Amino acid sequence: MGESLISKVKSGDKKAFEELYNIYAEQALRTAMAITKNKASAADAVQEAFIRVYNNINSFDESKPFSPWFYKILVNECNRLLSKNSRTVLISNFFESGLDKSRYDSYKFQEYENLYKAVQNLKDINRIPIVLKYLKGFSEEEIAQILDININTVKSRLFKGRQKLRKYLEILEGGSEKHG
Amino acid sequence: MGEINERKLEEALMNGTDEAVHLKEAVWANIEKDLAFKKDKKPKKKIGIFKYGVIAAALALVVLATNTKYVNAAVDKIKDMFAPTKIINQTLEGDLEETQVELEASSQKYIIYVDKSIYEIVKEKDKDIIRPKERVETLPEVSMTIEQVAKKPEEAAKDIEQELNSKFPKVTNLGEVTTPVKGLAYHAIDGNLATSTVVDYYIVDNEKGGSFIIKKQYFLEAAEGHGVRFDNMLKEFKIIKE
Repeated sequence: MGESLISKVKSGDKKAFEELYNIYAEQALRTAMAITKNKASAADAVQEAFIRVYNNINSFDESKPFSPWFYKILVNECNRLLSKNSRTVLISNFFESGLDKSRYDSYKFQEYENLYKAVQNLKDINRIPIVLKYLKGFSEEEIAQILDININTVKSRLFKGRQKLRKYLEILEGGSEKHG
Repeated sequence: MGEINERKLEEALMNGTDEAVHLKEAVWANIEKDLAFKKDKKPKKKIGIFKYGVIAAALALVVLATNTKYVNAAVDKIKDMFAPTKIINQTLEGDLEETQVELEASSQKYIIYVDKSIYEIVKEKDKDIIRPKERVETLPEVSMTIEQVAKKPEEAAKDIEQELNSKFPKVTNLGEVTTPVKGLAYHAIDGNLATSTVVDYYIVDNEKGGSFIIKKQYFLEAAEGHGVRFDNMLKEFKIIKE
């Protein structure tokens, strides 16, 4: 993305802001949904993140890449919503008992379905770095910057996240050799 | 099992989040409404976001086939098929609550479980209204209305969207949702005050060329109380198909 677009947004150019939105919105919605595990919360988070971007764009240093700055705002919004909705997430877990196939009927392959379920079962501490790396494609260094944590901590959380994913998959696919 | 296949993980995350992408236009519409684009500088005042919803839970829409010709007979049969009461655990405003809910088999051809210690069901000619037994006159309306209409979900959705747009400053077309019921959904709110009215519509295909229209109405402060209770009721909403 060119720096000029950010400059235009800084000057209050609505079209430029809309262009910025169009560049980032889709991936932001995906990321927010994978983090919050909820389509509606994802919309909330992305909406608020872009409003914050618009209101705070002047504090963004154009010599740095925009994406990590934006995703830091987005992840913070997701965390805020997760914290706010933590009580209700418990309810949904109770009702769903962890596995509800109807929710995933649009997926093309059972293995993707199980893998996504496994990601959703990860704790935030592991899920968020996994999402940022494998959905958004951020480097470990960028993830460290977004989450304000040490790069070694990122590596550790990613490693443990992958380990847990393997364990969840073993449980989910247990007795289902056909998908193995 | 060996290492996680990173390519498959990327693809699973993409597939699993596909449905969020459809909200792109709706989110932009709200951002546009929220931000006062001025010629000089960015607006200082941030207008709060509204809730698209709070619960993430799936519901399989179960269609029940019976051989019964008459509605009442069908309702009786349905009553026999489902537990008359259930105990559910729900977290309301931070507290875990154990609630007994009772089966309600409606002549509108659906079943639902209702906490009748708190809510009453008012049956009107073409619709059922679930509302608190005790109402505070100074607070906005709290209710959940369920009715069937002879319109396909897409047609009914157009009418609802038009109606909401004429009444609410913020309306979000959530598109297809799977929670708390499977159908088309709209969310509207008239402000960010504790007493701001919130309306959620769900349009569920009745599989006979018509639709169930479910309208939840409450106020912002009641989102984690009545809003959650209504959602939990809807998770047990099932259509009776003759």
